[in-house]
Amino acid sequence: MSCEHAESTTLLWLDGEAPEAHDLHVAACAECQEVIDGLERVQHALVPIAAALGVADVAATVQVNNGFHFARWGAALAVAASVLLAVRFMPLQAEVDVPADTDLASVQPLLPISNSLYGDLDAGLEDLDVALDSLAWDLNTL
Amino acid sequence: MPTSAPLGQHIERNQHDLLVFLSRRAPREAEELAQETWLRVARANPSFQDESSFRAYAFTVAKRLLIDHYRRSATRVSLVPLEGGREPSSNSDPLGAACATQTLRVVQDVLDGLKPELAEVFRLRTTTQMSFRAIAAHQAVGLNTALGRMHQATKAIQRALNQQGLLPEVVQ
Ligand SMILES: [Zn+2]
Repeated sequence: MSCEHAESTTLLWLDGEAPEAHDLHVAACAECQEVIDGLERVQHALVPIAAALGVADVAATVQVNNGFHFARWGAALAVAASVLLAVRFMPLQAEVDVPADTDLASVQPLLPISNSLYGDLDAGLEDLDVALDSLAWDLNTL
Repeated sequence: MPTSAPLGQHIERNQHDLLVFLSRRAPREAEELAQETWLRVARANPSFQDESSFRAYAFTVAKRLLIDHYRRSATRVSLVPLEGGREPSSNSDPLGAACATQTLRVVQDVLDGLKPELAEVFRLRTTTQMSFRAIAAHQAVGLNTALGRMHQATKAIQRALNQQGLLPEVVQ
């Protein structure tokens, strides 16, 4: 094969994962045409026998692996949710001494945040970072 | 300097042949695939000086859709367990069933003779909706390795089916 795309980009192009302009290359390249003609004929011949090819076993294996990915996604989302909940229910009001007769409308919305709250947030965000790294890894390996 | 014909004229000149081409391969879905082909061509709106380049381009888009269609059909078939074990579907057509049985035997023989990782890429690619990237991740190899495995397996199966006269002809 002298066309560098015939065994790589042209196969990816079938998945829609090559630049759109690759259509033009395939249309004009005899080797890439030969590859897709071959694939078309083979794939056509396989339609009636696909059920008998034993892919169910392989597909099941893949589903188990995907389940692993989803478990990691679930764990990551749980961490993210817990961080959000922790931030939402942090006892911010308890940090400020507000006299009972204060007009609440006059209280400044920006309340001081304690160091311990920063610490909890940092820990939560680190967990979130780890979870997001894990998600990015999963996405890259999908 | 020659100017390229308007897209509409190109489509008009080729739509009959494209429909015939698709009807031979996927009679029931030919209309739909033809429409999708022209939609994609119109969206890309390529500029060609000559008719043959436009035609080659349009048929390339159609083949891509056709391969995807076969693959989706194969996936649907493989998801429906067949009564009485793993036999090819007969569709009440004894000749078709005999041909399918022979095709199955040839394909299985070739797959059995290939390295397992090559056979697996081929099976996953042709009978599931997994992308090449997903298959590469599943096998923990680089994308180019997975693509190379697919290419080798396809060539081997194509050669074997060809030798037995079991591949449909390429007719344009
Ligand atoms: Zn090429």
